[in-house]
Amino acid sequence: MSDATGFKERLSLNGWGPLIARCILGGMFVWLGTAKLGDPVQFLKTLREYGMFPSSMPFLMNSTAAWLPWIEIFAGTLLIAGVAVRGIALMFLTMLIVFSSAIFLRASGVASADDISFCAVAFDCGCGTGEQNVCAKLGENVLLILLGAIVLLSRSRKLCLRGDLIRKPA
Amino acid sequence: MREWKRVIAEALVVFAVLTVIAFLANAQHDDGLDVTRDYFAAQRKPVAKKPVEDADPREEPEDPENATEPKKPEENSPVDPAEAEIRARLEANGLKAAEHDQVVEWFQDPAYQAGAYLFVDARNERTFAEGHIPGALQLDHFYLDRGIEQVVQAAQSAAVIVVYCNGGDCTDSESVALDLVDQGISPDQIHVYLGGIKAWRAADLPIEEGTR
Repeated sequence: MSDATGFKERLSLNGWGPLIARCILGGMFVWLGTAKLGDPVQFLKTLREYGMFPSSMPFLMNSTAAWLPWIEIFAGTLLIAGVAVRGIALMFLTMLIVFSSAIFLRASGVASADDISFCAVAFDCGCGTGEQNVCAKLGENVLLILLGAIVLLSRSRKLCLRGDLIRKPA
Repeated sequence: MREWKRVIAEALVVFAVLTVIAFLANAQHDDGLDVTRDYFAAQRKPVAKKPVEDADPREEPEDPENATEPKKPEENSPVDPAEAEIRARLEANGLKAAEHDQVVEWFQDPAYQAGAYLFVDARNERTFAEGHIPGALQLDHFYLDRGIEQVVQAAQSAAVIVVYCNGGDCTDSESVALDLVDQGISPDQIHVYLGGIKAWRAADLPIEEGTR
């Protein structure tokens, strides 16, 4: 058994590790998506604060604000239920990296404009948790990225409805 | 390698299917967003000239002849850059900012009860219900269809329309003011109360709770 395989086996904890990771990750996305959906206008306004969308194309920002909460809720639910587990883990990892980069860039801008240290910055990132310290938020995202990596790398299908949507050809 | 291709394909399939479902859900949701609407058009209207404090000496107004000087803030009052920017935009759009004392005077005028002054609360339904200026009607720029008819009808008999939101950097009152202009109401009638509900509450003025 190679070292890498041995590490994965230990991390798996007989399949319970990935199951717990998948429930926490999926649950977080369902919770955050539901919070955003509670006030879609506030989420739209917060997205605008990032200045990432061209003002000449409001469709892009509106679509993101309309789409993101729902996709978080649906994909989070599927992940908990154990459907397309690795595909959704990959999708969440990509989303988390994009979100974290956006938060990092905005916080860097605020820190430099207000001449304060990076970890003193606090704002509503639009994540669904209200105003939050940026270092705490990025730390939280790193933990979620680690959970996503566990789910993505694991082959365990413990309590999965349909772990692989696209199955290996026989 | 083939295994990873399968994982990526799975992610793309899930993403595509859920994207379609997400847009359908948004369309069916009561508070769903209209993805085609330009919600922040009012904040992008040209500002003739930046306030003095923020002015960049390298920038010249496009047409100095027609440039309007933003209203100077009251003496000894701190200059809020966000508020100064809103004032300049209002002027560029032919709208007026209403000072707190003027708004209170209109509110206390007996003609207010007769409908000569119309107060429009541009915040959302929840915050309106938590407390608003007595007699105000609610109109949310993001859900115009929920109150525009009532407001336009009341505006027909009003000489002055005061639109407010939270105050500070809140721009919803500015957006609603322009929505009313789009509905054919004269900009001369419309005044945006920049102090908003925060200034109103701070002055310990009456507050009404609930919806109308």
